[in-house]
Amino acid sequence: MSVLLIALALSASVLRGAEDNTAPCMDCHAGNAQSKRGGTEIDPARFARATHSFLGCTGCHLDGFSAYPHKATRKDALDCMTCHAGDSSAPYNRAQIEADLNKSVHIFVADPNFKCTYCHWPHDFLPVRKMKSIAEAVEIGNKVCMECHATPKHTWIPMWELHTKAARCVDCHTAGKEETIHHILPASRAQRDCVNCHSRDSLLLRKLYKHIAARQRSQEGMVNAVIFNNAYMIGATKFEWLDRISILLFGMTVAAVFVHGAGRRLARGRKKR
Amino acid sequence: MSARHALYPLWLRIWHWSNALLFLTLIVTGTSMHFAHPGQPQVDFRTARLIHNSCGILLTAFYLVFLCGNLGRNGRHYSRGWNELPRGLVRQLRYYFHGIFLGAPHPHHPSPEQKFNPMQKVAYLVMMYAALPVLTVTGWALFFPDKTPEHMLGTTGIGALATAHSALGYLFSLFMVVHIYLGTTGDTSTALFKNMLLGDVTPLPDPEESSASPLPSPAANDTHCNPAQS
Repeated sequence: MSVLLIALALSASVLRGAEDNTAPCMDCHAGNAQSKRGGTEIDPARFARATHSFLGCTGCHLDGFSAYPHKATRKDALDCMTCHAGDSSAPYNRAQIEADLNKSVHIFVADPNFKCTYCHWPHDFLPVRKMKSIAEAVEIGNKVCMECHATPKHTWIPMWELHTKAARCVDCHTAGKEETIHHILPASRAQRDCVNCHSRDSLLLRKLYKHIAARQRSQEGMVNAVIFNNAYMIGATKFEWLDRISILLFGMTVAAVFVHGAGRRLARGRKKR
Repeated sequence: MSARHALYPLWLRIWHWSNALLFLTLIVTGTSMHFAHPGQPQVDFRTARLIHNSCGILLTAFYLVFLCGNLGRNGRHYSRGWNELPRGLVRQLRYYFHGIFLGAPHPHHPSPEQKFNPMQKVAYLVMMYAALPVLTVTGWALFFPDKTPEHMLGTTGIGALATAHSALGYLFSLFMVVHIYLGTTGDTSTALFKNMLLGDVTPLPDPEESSASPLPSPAANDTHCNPAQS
Protein backbone atom coordinates (compact mmCIF):
# COMPACT_ATOMS: atom_id res chain seq x y z
CA MET A 1 0.00 0.00 0.00
CA SER A 2 2.78 2.41 0.97
CA VAL A 3 4.58 1.63 -2.29
CA LEU A 4 1.38 2.43 -4.15
CA LEU A 5 1.02 5.75 -2.36
CA ILE A 6 4.61 6.71 -3.09
CA ALA A 7 4.17 5.69 -6.70
CA LEU A 8 1.08 7.89 -6.91
CA ALA A 9 2.94 10.77 -5.30
CA LEU A 10 5.84 10.38 -7.72
CA SER A 11 3.48 10.16 -10.68
CA ALA A 12 1.78 13.34 -9.56
CA SER A 13 5.13 15.00 -9.17
CA VAL A 14 6.17 13.96 -12.68
CA LEU A 15 2.84 15.04 -14.10
CA ARG A 16 3.22 18.46 -12.50
CA GLY A 17 6.43 18.77 -14.39
CA ALA A 18 9.90 18.61 -12.98
CA GLU A 19 10.75 22.13 -14.09
CA ASP A 20 7.90 23.63 -12.11
CA ASN A 21 9.09 22.32 -8.82
CA THR A 22 12.79 22.64 -9.57
CA ALA A 23 13.01 26.31 -10.48
CA PRO A 24 12.08 27.79 -7.06
CA CYS A 25 14.49 25.43 -5.31
CA MET A 26 17.30 26.35 -7.66
CA ASP A 27 16.91 29.99 -6.68
CA CYS A 28 18.74 29.09 -3.51
CA HIS A 29 20.41 25.77 -4.22
CA ALA A 30 22.04 26.50 -7.55
CA GLY A 31 25.57 27.74 -7.84
CA ASN A 32 26.37 29.92 -4.85
CA ALA A 33 23.69 28.50 -2.55
CA GLN A 34 26.20 28.00 0.24
CA SER A 35 26.85 31.73 0.39
CA LYS A 36 23.15 32.57 0.40
CA ARG A 37 21.48 30.46 3.01
CA GLY A 38 23.47 27.30 3.31
CA GLY A 39 22.20 23.90 2.29
CA THR A 40 22.97 21.54 -0.51
CA GLU A 41 24.55 23.04 -3.60
CA ILE A 42 23.19 21.77 -6.87
CA ASP A 43 24.66 22.27 -10.32
CA PRO A 44 21.55 22.97 -12.47
CA ALA A 45 23.23 21.79 -15.67
CA ARG A 46 24.33 18.51 -14.14
CA PHE A 47 21.00 18.08 -12.40
CA ALA A 48 19.20 18.57 -15.73
CA ARG A 49 21.21 15.67 -17.17
CA ALA A 50 20.90 13.50 -14.06
CA THR A 51 18.97 10.29 -14.40
CA HIS A 52 16.54 11.34 -11.65
CA SER A 53 15.97 14.90 -12.83
CA PHE A 54 12.60 13.94 -14.31
CA LEU A 55 11.34 13.68 -10.74
CA GLY A 56 12.13 17.29 -9.96
CA CYS A 57 13.14 18.28 -6.45
CA THR A 58 9.89 17.42 -4.76
CA GLY A 59 9.88 13.97 -6.29
CA CYS A 60 12.20 12.93 -3.49
CA HIS A 61 11.90 15.85 -1.11
CA LEU A 62 8.19 15.27 -0.62
CA ASP A 63 7.06 17.14 2.45
CA GLY A 64 8.48 19.95 4.50
CA PHE A 65 10.71 21.42 1.82
CA SER A 66 8.31 23.78 0.06
CA ALA A 67 8.78 26.76 2.38
CA TYR A 68 11.91 28.31 3.82
CA PRO A 69 13.20 27.61 6.35
CA HIS A 70 12.45 23.97 5.55
CA LYS A 71 10.66 22.04 8.21
CA ALA A 72 12.20 18.82 6.96
CA THR A 73 15.87 17.90 6.84
CA ARG A 74 17.89 15.91 4.37
CA LYS A 75 17.05 12.76 6.30
CA ASP A 76 13.38 13.25 5.49
CA ALA A 77 13.96 12.96 1.77
CA LEU A 78 13.11 9.67 0.18
CA ASP A 79 15.71 6.94 0.44
CA CYS A 80 16.76 5.17 -2.77
CA MET A 81 15.22 1.97 -1.55
CA THR A 82 11.84 3.63 -1.17
CA CYS A 83 11.54 3.38 -4.92
CA HIS A 84 14.11 0.83 -5.93
CA ALA A 85 13.32 -1.96 -3.47
CA GLY A 86 11.30 -4.49 -5.40
CA ASP A 87 11.74 -2.51 -8.59
CA SER A 88 11.94 -5.32 -11.07
CA SER A 89 11.56 -3.11 -14.13
CA ALA A 90 14.84 -1.24 -13.60
CA PRO A 91 17.57 -1.99 -16.14
CA TYR A 92 19.81 -3.57 -13.52
CA ASN A 93 19.59 -6.42 -11.08
CA ARG A 94 18.89 -4.68 -7.78
CA ALA A 95 18.92 -7.90 -5.75
CA GLN A 96 22.37 -8.69 -7.14
CA ILE A 97 23.60 -5.17 -6.40
CA GLU A 98 22.45 -5.50 -2.81
CA ALA A 99 24.07 -8.91 -2.43
CA ASP A 100 27.33 -7.62 -3.94
CA LEU A 101 27.31 -4.51 -1.81
CA ASN A 102 26.87 -6.56 1.34
CA LYS A 103 30.02 -8.50 0.47
CA SER A 104 31.97 -5.38 -0.42
CA VAL A 105 34.72 -3.82 1.61
CA HIS A 106 32.62 -0.66 1.85
CA ILE A 107 30.08 -2.49 4.00
CA PHE A 108 32.02 -5.00 6.06
CA VAL A 109 35.07 -2.82 6.71
CA ALA A 110 34.22 0.83 6.12
CA ASP A 111 30.65 1.46 7.17
CA PRO A 112 27.84 -1.02 7.85
CA ASN A 113 25.38 1.78 7.02
CA PHE A 114 27.00 2.57 3.71
CA LYS A 115 24.44 4.25 1.46
CA CYS A 116 23.94 4.25 -2.31
CA THR A 117 24.19 8.04 -2.29
CA TYR A 118 27.76 7.93 -1.00
CA CYS A 119 28.76 7.06 -4.55
CA HIS A 120 25.62 7.76 -6.57
CA TRP A 121 25.00 11.39 -5.65
CA PRO A 122 21.35 11.67 -6.73
CA HIS A 123 21.59 15.28 -7.88
CA ASP A 124 23.92 14.47 -10.73
CA PHE A 125 24.04 10.68 -10.97
CA LEU A 126 24.11 9.28 -14.50
CA PRO A 127 24.55 5.62 -15.32
CA VAL A 128 27.37 4.81 -17.76
CA ARG A 129 24.94 4.01 -20.53
CA LYS A 130 23.63 7.59 -20.44
CA MET A 131 26.99 9.31 -20.42
CA LYS A 132 28.33 11.10 -23.48
CA SER A 133 31.37 8.93 -23.80
CA ILE A 134 33.46 6.27 -22.14
CA ALA A 135 35.99 8.97 -21.30
CA GLU A 136 33.30 10.85 -19.37
CA ALA A 137 32.23 7.65 -17.60
CA VAL A 138 35.82 7.02 -16.54
CA GLU A 139 36.41 10.59 -15.42
CA ILE A 140 33.23 10.84 -13.37
CA GLY A 141 33.51 7.29 -12.05
CA ASN A 142 37.04 7.82 -10.80
CA LYS A 143 36.23 11.23 -9.36
CA VAL A 144 33.63 9.59 -7.11
CA CYS A 145 36.29 7.27 -5.64
CA MET A 146 38.78 10.10 -5.28
CA GLU A 147 36.38 12.07 -3.11
CA CYS A 148 37.04 9.63 -0.27
CA HIS A 149 40.26 7.91 -1.25
CA ALA A 150 43.52 9.82 -1.39
CA THR A 151 45.36 9.65 -4.71
CA PRO A 152 46.35 6.01 -4.71
CA LYS A 153 49.85 4.80 -5.49
CA HIS A 154 49.89 2.22 -8.22
CA THR A 155 53.58 2.26 -9.01
CA TRP A 156 53.46 -1.29 -10.35
CA ILE A 157 51.14 -0.23 -13.18
CA PRO A 158 53.05 1.15 -16.17
CA MET A 159 51.68 4.31 -17.74
CA TRP A 160 49.49 4.93 -14.73
CA GLU A 161 48.07 8.22 -16.02
CA LEU A 162 46.93 6.53 -19.21
CA HIS A 163 45.25 3.76 -17.24
CA THR A 164 43.30 6.28 -15.15
CA LYS A 165 41.90 7.77 -18.35
CA ALA A 166 40.97 4.42 -19.89
CA ALA A 167 39.47 2.48 -16.99
CA ARG A 168 37.70 3.10 -13.74
CA CYS A 169 39.00 2.22 -10.28
CA VAL A 170 36.09 -0.19 -9.86
CA ASP A 171 37.01 -2.13 -13.00
CA CYS A 172 40.04 -3.54 -11.19
CA HIS A 173 38.85 -3.21 -7.61
CA THR A 174 35.89 -5.55 -8.07
CA ALA A 175 35.63 -9.28 -8.23
CA GLY A 176 36.77 -11.26 -11.26
CA LYS A 177 35.14 -10.99 -14.62
CA GLU A 178 31.64 -10.73 -13.19
CA GLU A 179 29.58 -7.79 -14.29
CA THR A 180 29.36 -6.38 -10.80
CA ILE A 181 31.06 -3.19 -9.83
CA HIS A 182 29.44 -3.17 -6.40
CA HIS A 183 31.42 -6.02 -4.88
CA ILE A 184 34.36 -3.74 -4.07
CA LEU A 185 37.37 -5.75 -2.91
CA PRO A 186 40.05 -4.76 -0.44
CA ALA A 187 43.11 -3.39 -2.25
CA SER A 188 45.03 -6.59 -1.53
CA ARG A 189 42.52 -8.62 -3.57
CA ALA A 190 42.11 -6.23 -6.51
CA GLN A 191 42.95 -7.38 -10.04
CA ARG A 192 46.69 -7.53 -10.58
CA ASP A 193 46.88 -9.77 -13.63
CA CYS A 194 47.22 -7.45 -16.63
CA VAL A 195 45.89 -10.14 -18.94
CA ASN A 196 42.46 -9.98 -17.34
CA CYS A 197 42.00 -6.72 -19.25
CA HIS A 198 44.68 -7.05 -21.91
CA SER A 199 43.16 -10.00 -23.72
CA ARG A 200 40.50 -10.69 -26.30
CA ASP A 201 38.05 -11.59 -23.53
CA SER A 202 38.84 -8.39 -21.60
CA LEU A 203 36.95 -7.96 -18.35
CA LEU A 204 36.28 -4.35 -19.38
CA LEU A 205 33.70 -5.74 -21.78
CA ARG A 206 31.70 -6.94 -18.81
CA LYS A 207 32.24 -3.85 -16.70
CA LEU A 208 33.00 -0.43 -18.18
CA TYR A 209 31.86 -1.35 -21.68
CA LYS A 210 29.02 -3.70 -20.85
CA HIS A 211 26.26 -1.29 -21.91
CA ILE A 212 27.71 -0.58 -25.32
CA ALA A 213 29.66 -3.78 -25.88
CA ALA A 214 26.65 -5.80 -26.88
CA ARG A 215 25.63 -3.45 -29.66
CA GLN A 216 29.09 -2.57 -30.95
CA ARG A 217 31.17 -5.68 -30.36
CA SER A 218 30.55 -7.16 -33.75
CA GLN A 219 32.04 -4.34 -35.84
CA GLU A 220 33.54 -5.96 -38.91
CA GLY A 221 37.16 -7.07 -38.83
CA MET A 222 38.04 -5.71 -35.43
CA VAL A 223 38.55 -7.45 -32.10
CA ASN A 224 36.77 -5.45 -29.39
CA ALA A 225 36.05 -2.47 -31.62
CA VAL A 226 34.06 -1.02 -28.77
CA ILE A 227 37.25 -0.62 -26.74
CA PHE A 228 39.46 0.24 -29.73
CA ASN A 229 37.26 3.23 -30.53
CA ASN A 230 38.08 4.66 -27.12
CA ALA A 231 41.47 3.29 -26.19
CA TYR A 232 44.12 1.00 -27.65
CA MET A 233 44.80 -1.95 -25.36
CA ILE A 234 47.44 -4.41 -26.45
CA GLY A 235 46.05 -7.92 -26.25
CA ALA A 236 42.43 -6.74 -26.25
CA THR A 237 42.13 -4.60 -29.37
CA LYS A 238 43.38 -5.58 -32.79
CA PHE A 239 42.43 -5.91 -36.40
CA GLU A 240 41.19 -9.44 -36.89
CA TRP A 241 42.00 -9.40 -40.61
CA LEU A 242 45.59 -8.32 -40.01
CA ASP A 243 46.16 -11.25 -37.64
CA ARG A 244 44.46 -13.71 -39.96
CA ILE A 245 46.29 -12.58 -43.09
CA SER A 246 49.62 -12.44 -41.27
CA ILE A 247 49.23 -15.88 -39.70
CA LEU A 248 48.13 -17.28 -43.08
CA LEU A 249 51.14 -15.71 -44.81
CA PHE A 250 53.44 -17.00 -42.08
CA GLY A 251 52.03 -20.52 -42.44
CA MET A 252 52.30 -20.36 -46.23
CA THR A 253 55.90 -19.15 -46.00
CA VAL A 254 56.88 -21.93 -43.61
CA ALA A 255 55.13 -24.47 -45.86
CA ALA A 256 56.87 -23.04 -48.95
CA VAL A 257 60.22 -23.28 -47.19
CA PHE A 258 59.57 -26.94 -46.31
CA VAL A 259 58.45 -27.76 -49.85
CA HIS A 260 61.46 -25.96 -51.35
CA GLY A 261 63.81 -27.67 -48.90
CA ALA A 262 62.27 -31.07 -49.64
CA GLY A 263 62.62 -30.39 -53.38
CA ARG A 264 66.32 -29.57 -52.94
CA ARG A 265 66.85 -32.70 -50.90
CA LEU A 266 65.12 -34.86 -53.49
CA ALA A 267 67.10 -33.26 -56.30
CA ARG A 268 70.35 -33.84 -54.41
CA GLY A 269 69.40 -37.48 -53.81
CA ARG A 270 68.69 -38.06 -57.50
CA LYS A 271 71.93 -36.39 -58.48
CA LYS A 272 73.92 -38.68 -56.16
CA ARG A 273 72.23 -41.77 -57.61
CA MET B 1 92.96 -8.07 -43.45
CA SER B 2 92.01 -10.94 -45.79
CA ALA B 3 89.39 -10.66 -48.56
CA ARG B 4 87.06 -12.75 -46.41
CA HIS B 5 87.09 -10.15 -43.69
CA ALA B 6 86.05 -7.51 -46.17
CA LEU B 7 82.65 -9.20 -46.37
CA TYR B 8 82.33 -10.20 -42.73
CA PRO B 9 83.95 -7.55 -40.55
CA LEU B 10 83.70 -8.28 -36.85
CA TRP B 11 81.36 -5.36 -36.09
CA LEU B 12 78.95 -6.64 -38.72
CA ARG B 13 78.93 -10.17 -37.30
CA ILE B 14 78.36 -8.92 -33.77
CA TRP B 15 75.60 -6.62 -35.01
CA HIS B 16 74.01 -9.38 -37.10
CA TRP B 17 73.75 -11.97 -34.32
CA SER B 18 72.73 -9.44 -31.71
CA ASN B 19 70.04 -8.26 -34.09
CA ALA B 20 68.91 -11.84 -34.68
CA LEU B 21 68.65 -12.53 -30.96
CA LEU B 22 66.83 -9.26 -30.32
CA PHE B 23 64.37 -9.91 -33.12
CA LEU B 24 63.57 -13.41 -31.89
CA THR B 25 63.00 -12.08 -28.39
CA LEU B 26 60.90 -9.18 -29.68
CA ILE B 27 58.75 -11.51 -31.78
CA VAL B 28 58.18 -13.92 -28.88
CA THR B 29 57.38 -11.20 -26.34
CA GLY B 30 55.40 -9.15 -28.87
CA THR B 31 53.16 -12.07 -29.79
CA SER B 32 52.81 -12.97 -26.10
CA MET B 33 51.32 -9.54 -25.45
CA HIS B 34 49.35 -9.33 -28.70
CA PHE B 35 47.71 -12.71 -28.09
CA ALA B 36 47.64 -12.45 -24.29
CA HIS B 37 45.10 -14.73 -22.71
CA PRO B 38 44.72 -15.89 -19.11
CA GLY B 39 46.17 -19.36 -18.57
CA GLN B 40 47.80 -19.56 -22.00
CA PRO B 41 51.42 -20.83 -22.14
CA GLN B 42 53.19 -17.60 -23.04
CA VAL B 43 55.58 -15.11 -21.49
CA ASP B 44 53.98 -13.43 -18.48
CA PHE B 45 52.49 -10.11 -19.62
CA ARG B 46 54.45 -7.84 -17.33
CA THR B 47 57.71 -9.71 -17.98
CA ALA B 48 57.01 -9.67 -21.72
CA ARG B 49 56.48 -5.92 -21.63
CA LEU B 50 59.71 -5.32 -19.73
CA ILE B 51 61.75 -7.55 -22.05
CA HIS B 52 60.07 -6.19 -25.20
CA ASN B 53 60.77 -2.59 -24.20
CA SER B 54 64.37 -3.32 -23.22
CA CYS B 55 65.05 -5.21 -26.45
CA GLY B 56 63.40 -2.42 -28.45
CA ILE B 57 65.80 0.11 -26.94
CA LEU B 58 68.77 -2.18 -27.61
CA LEU B 59 67.57 -2.77 -31.18
CA THR B 60 67.53 0.99 -31.75
CA ALA B 61 71.07 1.26 -30.41
CA PHE B 62 72.21 -1.58 -32.67
CA TYR B 63 70.46 0.04 -35.63
CA LEU B 64 72.50 3.19 -35.04
CA VAL B 65 75.62 0.99 -35.02
CA PHE B 66 74.46 -0.48 -38.34
CA LEU B 67 73.90 2.98 -39.85
CA CYS B 68 77.30 4.21 -38.67
CA GLY B 69 78.96 1.02 -39.91
CA ASN B 70 77.40 1.54 -43.33
CA LEU B 71 78.94 4.96 -43.57
CA GLY B 72 82.12 2.97 -44.17
CA ARG B 73 82.89 0.25 -46.74
CA ASN B 74 79.82 -1.88 -46.01
CA GLY B 75 77.54 0.88 -47.30
CA ARG B 76 78.68 0.36 -50.88
CA HIS B 77 76.82 -2.98 -50.99
CA TYR B 78 73.56 -1.07 -50.67
CA SER B 79 74.35 1.81 -52.97
CA ARG B 80 75.97 0.23 -56.02
CA GLY B 81 74.86 -2.02 -58.86
CA TRP B 82 71.34 -0.72 -59.37
CA ASN B 83 71.51 -0.74 -63.19
CA GLU B 84 71.66 -4.50 -63.32
CA LEU B 85 68.96 -4.98 -60.72
CA PRO B 86 65.86 -5.92 -62.81
CA ARG B 87 67.68 -8.55 -64.88
CA GLY B 88 69.56 -9.73 -61.83
CA LEU B 89 66.31 -10.20 -59.92
CA VAL B 90 64.86 -12.33 -62.69
CA ARG B 91 68.03 -14.43 -62.80
CA GLN B 92 68.02 -14.83 -59.02
CA LEU B 93 64.36 -15.83 -58.86
CA ARG B 94 64.82 -18.26 -61.75
CA TYR B 95 67.68 -19.80 -59.81
CA TYR B 96 65.69 -20.20 -56.58
CA PHE B 97 62.63 -21.60 -58.38
CA HIS B 98 64.41 -23.78 -60.94
CA GLY B 99 68.20 -23.80 -61.13
CA ILE B 100 68.79 -24.69 -57.51
CA PHE B 101 67.01 -28.02 -58.03
CA LEU B 102 69.23 -28.85 -60.99
CA GLY B 103 72.48 -27.95 -59.24
CA ALA B 104 72.97 -24.92 -61.50
CA PRO B 105 75.67 -22.44 -60.52
CA HIS B 106 74.61 -19.53 -58.40
CA PRO B 107 73.93 -16.54 -60.67
CA HIS B 108 75.59 -14.04 -58.36
CA HIS B 109 79.27 -13.94 -57.46
CA PRO B 110 79.86 -11.93 -54.30
CA SER B 111 82.86 -9.68 -54.23
CA PRO B 112 84.20 -7.08 -51.85
CA GLU B 113 82.55 -4.55 -54.18
CA GLN B 114 79.14 -6.24 -54.30
CA LYS B 115 78.40 -9.02 -51.87
CA PHE B 116 74.60 -9.00 -52.13
CA ASN B 117 72.70 -10.77 -54.84
CA PRO B 118 69.88 -8.65 -56.35
CA MET B 119 67.21 -10.23 -54.14
CA GLN B 120 69.27 -9.60 -51.03
CA LYS B 121 69.90 -6.02 -52.08
CA VAL B 122 66.19 -5.24 -52.52
CA ALA B 123 65.09 -7.17 -49.44
CA TYR B 124 67.73 -5.71 -47.13
CA LEU B 125 67.19 -2.21 -48.43
CA VAL B 126 63.44 -2.41 -47.82
CA MET B 127 63.78 -4.10 -44.46
CA MET B 128 66.70 -2.11 -43.08
CA TYR B 129 66.04 1.33 -44.54
CA ALA B 130 62.23 1.44 -44.66
CA ALA B 131 60.56 -1.22 -42.50
CA LEU B 132 62.95 -1.16 -39.54
CA PRO B 133 62.96 2.65 -39.15
CA VAL B 134 59.15 2.68 -39.18
CA LEU B 135 59.04 -0.28 -36.77
CA THR B 136 61.46 1.53 -34.47
CA VAL B 137 59.69 4.88 -34.64
CA THR B 138 56.25 3.34 -34.00
CA GLY B 139 57.74 1.35 -31.13
CA TRP B 140 59.22 4.47 -29.56
CA ALA B 141 55.96 6.35 -30.08
CA LEU B 142 54.22 3.68 -28.01
CA PHE B 143 56.59 4.49 -25.16
CA PHE B 144 55.02 7.95 -25.07
CA PRO B 145 51.33 7.37 -25.79
CA ASP B 146 50.32 10.72 -24.33
CA LYS B 147 52.46 12.45 -26.97
CA THR B 148 50.87 10.62 -29.90
CA PRO B 149 48.22 12.35 -32.02
CA GLU B 150 44.69 11.85 -30.73
CA HIS B 151 43.43 10.78 -34.16
CA MET B 152 45.31 9.21 -37.02
CA LEU B 153 44.15 7.38 -40.17
CA GLY B 154 40.56 7.24 -39.01
CA THR B 155 41.28 5.81 -35.59
CA THR B 156 43.09 6.74 -32.39
CA GLY B 157 46.74 7.74 -32.75
CA ILE B 158 47.94 4.93 -30.49
CA GLY B 159 45.70 2.45 -32.32
CA ALA B 160 47.10 3.38 -35.72
CA LEU B 161 50.72 3.32 -34.52
CA ALA B 162 50.26 0.03 -32.69
CA THR B 163 48.60 -1.56 -35.74
CA ALA B 164 51.48 -0.42 -37.98
CA HIS B 165 53.93 -1.75 -35.38
CA SER B 166 52.17 -5.15 -35.32
CA ALA B 167 52.00 -5.35 -39.12
CA LEU B 168 55.73 -4.66 -39.41
CA GLY B 169 56.40 -7.18 -36.65
CA TYR B 170 54.59 -9.78 -38.75
CA LEU B 171 56.61 -8.72 -41.80
CA PHE B 172 59.89 -9.19 -39.93
CA SER B 173 58.84 -12.63 -38.69
CA LEU B 174 58.20 -13.62 -42.33
CA PHE B 175 61.54 -12.13 -43.32
CA MET B 176 63.32 -14.14 -40.63
CA VAL B 177 61.83 -17.43 -41.83
CA VAL B 178 62.92 -16.80 -45.42
CA HIS B 179 66.27 -15.32 -44.36
CA ILE B 180 67.15 -18.31 -42.17
CA TYR B 181 66.03 -20.77 -44.84
CA LEU B 182 68.07 -19.10 -47.58
CA GLY B 183 70.98 -19.33 -45.16
CA THR B 184 70.92 -23.07 -45.84
CA THR B 185 71.47 -22.64 -49.58
CA GLY B 186 75.25 -22.54 -49.34
CA ASP B 187 77.75 -25.30 -50.09
CA THR B 188 76.37 -27.22 -47.15
CA SER B 189 73.33 -26.33 -45.12
CA THR B 190 75.49 -24.79 -42.37
CA ALA B 191 78.30 -23.24 -44.44
CA LEU B 192 76.76 -19.79 -44.66
CA PHE B 193 75.89 -19.72 -40.96
CA LYS B 194 79.51 -20.58 -40.15
CA ASN B 195 80.66 -17.80 -42.44
CA MET B 196 78.54 -15.24 -40.68
CA LEU B 197 79.58 -16.61 -37.30
CA LEU B 198 83.32 -16.96 -37.85
CA GLY B 199 83.84 -14.63 -40.77
CA ASP B 200 86.77 -16.41 -42.35
CA VAL B 201 85.71 -20.01 -42.88
CA THR B 202 85.97 -19.99 -46.65
CA PRO B 203 88.31 -17.72 -48.57
CA LEU B 204 87.00 -15.73 -51.51
CA PRO B 205 87.94 -16.99 -54.94
CA ASP B 206 91.09 -15.52 -56.38
CA PRO B 207 90.01 -12.33 -58.20
CA GLU B 208 92.32 -13.10 -61.13
CA GLU B 209 90.91 -16.61 -61.41
CA SER B 210 87.37 -15.23 -61.26
CA SER B 211 88.00 -12.72 -64.02
CA ALA B 212 89.58 -15.40 -66.21
CA SER B 213 86.56 -17.66 -65.81
CA PRO B 214 83.20 -15.92 -66.34
CA LEU B 215 81.29 -18.99 -65.12
CA PRO B 216 82.90 -20.14 -61.89
CA SER B 217 82.07 -23.54 -60.49
CA PRO B 218 78.79 -23.83 -58.57
CA ALA B 219 80.54 -24.83 -55.37
CA ALA B 220 82.82 -21.83 -55.32
CA ASN B 221 79.99 -19.42 -56.03
CA ASP B 222 77.32 -20.80 -53.75
CA THR B 223 79.63 -20.60 -50.81
CA HIS B 224 79.61 -16.83 -50.90
CA CYS B 225 76.03 -16.00 -51.76
CA ASN B 226 75.13 -15.57 -48.19
CA PRO B 227 71.60 -14.45 -47.43
CA ALA B 228 72.76 -14.05 -43.87
CA GLN B 229 75.02 -11.22 -44.93
CA SER B 230 73.82 -7.75 -44.18
